[in-house]
Amino acid sequence: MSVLRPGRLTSSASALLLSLLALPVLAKDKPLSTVADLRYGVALYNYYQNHNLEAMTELMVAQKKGGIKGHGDNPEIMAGGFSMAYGMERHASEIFERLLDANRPQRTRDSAWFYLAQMRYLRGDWIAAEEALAKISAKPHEELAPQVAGLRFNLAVQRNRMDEAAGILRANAKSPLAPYMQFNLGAAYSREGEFSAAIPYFQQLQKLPQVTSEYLGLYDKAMTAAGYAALLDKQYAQAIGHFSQVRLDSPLSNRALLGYGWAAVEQGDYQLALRPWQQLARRSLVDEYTQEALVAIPYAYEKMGYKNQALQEFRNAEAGYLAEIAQLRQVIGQVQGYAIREALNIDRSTDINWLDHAQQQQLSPQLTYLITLFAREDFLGLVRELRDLLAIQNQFREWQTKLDFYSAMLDEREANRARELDTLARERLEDKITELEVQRASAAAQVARLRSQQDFLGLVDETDAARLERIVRAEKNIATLQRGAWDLGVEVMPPEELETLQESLRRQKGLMLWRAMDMYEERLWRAEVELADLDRELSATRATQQRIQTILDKGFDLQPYRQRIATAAEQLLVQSTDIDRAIELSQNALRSKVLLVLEQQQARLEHYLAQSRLSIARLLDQTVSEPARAAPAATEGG
Amino acid sequence: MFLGWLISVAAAAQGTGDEAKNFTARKENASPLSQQVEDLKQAALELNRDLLILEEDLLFPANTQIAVYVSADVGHYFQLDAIKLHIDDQLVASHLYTEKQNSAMNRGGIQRLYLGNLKTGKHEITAFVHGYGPQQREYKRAATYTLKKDQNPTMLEMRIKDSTASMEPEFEFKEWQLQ
Repeated sequence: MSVLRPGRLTSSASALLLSLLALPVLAKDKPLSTVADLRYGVALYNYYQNHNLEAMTELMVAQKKGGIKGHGDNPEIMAGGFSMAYGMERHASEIFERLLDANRPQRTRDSAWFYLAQMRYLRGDWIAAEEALAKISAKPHEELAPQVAGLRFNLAVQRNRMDEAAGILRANAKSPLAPYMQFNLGAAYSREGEFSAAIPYFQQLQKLPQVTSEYLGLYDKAMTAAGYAALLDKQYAQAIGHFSQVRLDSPLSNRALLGYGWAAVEQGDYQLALRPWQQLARRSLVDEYTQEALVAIPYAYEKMGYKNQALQEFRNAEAGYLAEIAQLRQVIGQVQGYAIREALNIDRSTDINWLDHAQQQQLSPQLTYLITLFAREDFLGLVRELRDLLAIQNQFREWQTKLDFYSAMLDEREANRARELDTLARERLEDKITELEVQRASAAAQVARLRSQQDFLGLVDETDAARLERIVRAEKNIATLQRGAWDLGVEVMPPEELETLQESLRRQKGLMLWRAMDMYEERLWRAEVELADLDRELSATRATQQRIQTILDKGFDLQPYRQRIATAAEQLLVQSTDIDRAIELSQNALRSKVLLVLEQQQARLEHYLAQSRLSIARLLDQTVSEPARAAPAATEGG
Repeated sequence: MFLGWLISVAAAAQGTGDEAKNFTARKENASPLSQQVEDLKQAALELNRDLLILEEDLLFPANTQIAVYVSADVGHYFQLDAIKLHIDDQLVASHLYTEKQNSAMNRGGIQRLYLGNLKTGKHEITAFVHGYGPQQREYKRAATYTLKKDQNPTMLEMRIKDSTASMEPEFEFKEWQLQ
């Protein structure tokens, strides 16, 4: 038994998405309270893009780094929801069961019971699902209430409690889920053979806004179902009316056209029946409705008495079936021969709506036989599983490359450290720094003294210093000569010449002193600049030493990283092997299901082929024994 | 003849659409393979988590780490199209937003735009934001934040908000401290 749900909820796991929609609202209402909340937001960002693996990982990293605070039980509910979306139902169950603790707020427990009920429902365990639903408080919080009502409705439908389901539908008439409830209730009445009760529910869907493709799809589905319900209820004109409302470009139009024809046949109007069937016969033979139309056309001609035309159409049908069987055999061979994921274009990067995917002819035409298979939850579950496994395989490959890179990076750091050690040994940086520091201290003391004593002679250059020395020496010599003349009466030079010489020396010395005073500030500035240069050299040498020391110090921390990389690489290897094996098994399971459907299609075609051939033989016998009527040209329509 | 071929309403209800769910078939899904796959997923998630933490420790040590996040509380006055992030006049990250990513952010998701390293000291973080306002009016804005990087990991969140007062988007930076 099946139940129709909103199209966006394409997977049973992400069916909980609607329920989880309340979460961002909670997240928005409460301002972020800790830095870990950023990861919470990042997890949501990934989740809303269907990146479930990344979303789960982000939450787990946040948990490992101290957890998410300030949002009550929401992160756990989120983790449960993410787990379900990622196909980890056991893990999700464990989380939700933990949330049922009596100490948790009622709101949390209601959510947990709801999710558990949902999971049990998805597993087809109706009784357990109802038990879980019964634990939810009478008035669940407003985000949850419509979801609870939806699940109660589905359970009532599944257990054939139509009155209860109708009551829930009435109480939720304005819910966005109401159109789906109407369809499902109509389908449930149909299954019970209560066609007159079913039809009004399908008709309700004529009032849909019909703006989105999802609503249009639901509308087509409802009109087709209403048509068949009316047909089985022997309301043939009404059935034709419903079938006519299905859009011709709808995926359901083949089914509706076939039904239209049979409703016309039931009214005895074979001419009318030919219109939709001939339209169907021009379409590709890739579904059971177009295949059936090929034999339905000659059936109508035969009923109208046009046996030659019927014979011709049966021959056309025979040729069509033979061609289709040949193509189908080829497809079966291909599916057996190569990887199923290539045949089905399964790639984790695409977030595929399988129906659209098939309809857009991205699959080879014969694989559109699989449209009904794509609509089956177990098949979609396998596809999702394979896609998730492929995503893990991709990620593991990326990690393998990264780990190789990180190992190389650590090797490089190690080599760098060895080089620096070598530099340290060669340049004896410690000695160099000590020497520079002594030089610097002496120079700094000298500069300080020169400034404090304003010792301008201490800053004269070498030439001036030599010149000054010579002047001082000459002055001493003159004084000696003068003392010799005065004390001993020995005149080496005439006193006038000595005085002239003395005056000359005094002038030169005065000039020199004046120049030294004049140049003092500039020379002192130069000395300070030199001191600053020395400081810079010293600090550069210290930085080099510091850098080397840091590398040396950090070098000792490389080992734990190496160990972590080695452990991870080992785990990657083991898990990659398991993943590869699981992918193989998953592909085989998918392949078996695909082959089964294709073989069933082949059997169906062979059955039609046999019927066509029998009819040809029968008609040939009759043609020999009686004259035939010519058929009028069929009027087209739809 | 047709009765044998006639499709029952139940089959019609089952639908060709992916919307139709054959829930009873879920039982088949609880196969040993599914359980094994769940175990594999759990192990893969744990390994992935450990590898991410290892990568962060290796490439973005705590004392130099900087992460820039983007959140949006918009919808009426702004639709994000692109962001370019500069640190000290150097382009370090850029991103073009899809409709899905915009929707994810408007529903509470936060994007990690950049994770990198930065020396301690003052730095200028500038985000150049491009987007569309009402009537598809183009918006180009820049938001700047002066960051004083210390020895702790730096978490910076750029918030984009609708301002009902000015009917325009507003941008602000929020620096988070590790607790």
